[in-house]
Amino acid sequence: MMDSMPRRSRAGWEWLLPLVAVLVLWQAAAWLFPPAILPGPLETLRALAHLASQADFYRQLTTTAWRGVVGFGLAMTLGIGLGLWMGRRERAYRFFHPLLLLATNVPPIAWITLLLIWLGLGDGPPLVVVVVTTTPLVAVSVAQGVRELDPALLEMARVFDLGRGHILRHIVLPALAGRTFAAALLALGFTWRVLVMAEFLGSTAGLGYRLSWARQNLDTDQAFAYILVIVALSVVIEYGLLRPLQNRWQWEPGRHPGERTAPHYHAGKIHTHPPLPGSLAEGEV
Amino acid sequence: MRSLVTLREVYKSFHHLPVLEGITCDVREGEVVSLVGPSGCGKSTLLRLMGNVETLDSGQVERRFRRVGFVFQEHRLLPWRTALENVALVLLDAVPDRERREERVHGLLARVGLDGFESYYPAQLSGGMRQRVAIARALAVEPDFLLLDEPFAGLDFALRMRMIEFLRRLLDEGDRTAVYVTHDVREALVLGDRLVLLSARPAQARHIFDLQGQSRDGWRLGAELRQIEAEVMTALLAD
Repeated sequence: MMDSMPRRSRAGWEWLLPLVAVLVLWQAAAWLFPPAILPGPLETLRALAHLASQADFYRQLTTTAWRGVVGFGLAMTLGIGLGLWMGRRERAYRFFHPLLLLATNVPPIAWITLLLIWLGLGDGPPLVVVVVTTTPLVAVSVAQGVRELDPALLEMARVFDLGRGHILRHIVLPALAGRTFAAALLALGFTWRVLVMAEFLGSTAGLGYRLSWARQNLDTDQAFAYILVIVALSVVIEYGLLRPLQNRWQWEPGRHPGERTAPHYHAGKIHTHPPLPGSLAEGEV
Repeated sequence: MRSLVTLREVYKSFHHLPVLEGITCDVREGEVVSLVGPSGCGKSTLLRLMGNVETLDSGQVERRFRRVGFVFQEHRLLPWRTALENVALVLLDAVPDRERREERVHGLLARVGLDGFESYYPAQLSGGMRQRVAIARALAVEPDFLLLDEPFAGLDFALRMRMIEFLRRLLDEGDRTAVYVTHDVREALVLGDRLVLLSARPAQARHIFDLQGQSRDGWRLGAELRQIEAEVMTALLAD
């Protein structure tokens, strides 16, 4: 308890250091250039305050957030479902794996171009581009996880007559949690990048669209404000939703679901063997 | 006495490699059979055949048990579940009410001397404690036939003997039928009512020793058992 105190207080402000460094560098660079090229942090905050006072800003923010959450949710659902199927069925794996690898190698901009041609402006292209670019990441990762499941644990489940639902819930999903959350974090980062790109290039709503508008009008301070909001949105979803879920569900050696720190056996406290009921006294053997 | 499992002329191969060659033996109700043989001879395959986890190539297996409990060589506990949750896992369907299920698991863990350790994860327990959780899990399904595949192989001699003696009491208490696979002759003699000695792969039942009524006190063997021990060890060394 005593030695964890200084560690905790150090960890409390350490994460601020890189942020402060970026702000300092940003401000230093802003002094070298006119605000129309590089507005400083204060000008950006002022622009952000101005945006925040307008109802339109919230409409654009909600549109992008809605597209991001729905697209990411769809990609996770499809990716996990497809990954589980591919992991269990060798023929499905052999069929889909090369296709998914191919899909991950198509640049997002190519998808956006095709989707704009096929679907026109609106919610379609941003949503679909998120789904087609992130589903393969999740599916390949989950399929690999299923293929690496410990067969000894599955045999144990069979021997004890566990039903398919119990096996999925208590053995397969916890075993896959590590890979799935890693894929989800990667997919979430990807979601915002391709979503804003799709909105920037061919949409009539959303933060990406507004960013493109700011570029056309040379409102550099507003462009910076929108970039800040986009980054903040992704951070809020990651740290407000995904990381707490990961902390709740993900198991990894030495850290169990819901635990913030490693169990104390890692600090060298290994439990001694408690006496066996009705057994020989310790001294006899 | 009724046989719970009878094997007649059982053959089994893996990828054209013969593992079991014409095994004939039975396991009678209420007895503990020790299966002894050199490493890799097919003891575990024979055990899995008895428990209906493995299929045979030819021969006949008659199984008359109602429910089998299995203790594996490795504990096979889920690392993301506590001791209590690991045991409770096999009771999800049999005891749907959570409170009643946990009450039963508390009792089982107490029987294997692990009361107070319910909320510990496998990584927080020693090797012997993990195997005790695995034993509690096997007992949870109320088996009339218990299969144990070298469950104490990784433990040191003293702990192994204490675990064997504890297991013996546990088996006697419930008048349970069990098959215990080991390559350790002393373990087999301390625990078994009969000892089936298998040859090197492909395994054949070389000799079946009747150990009932022989004098033994814990891990100490009487003169006749020591004689059998010498015979079995000589046979193993000859393989």
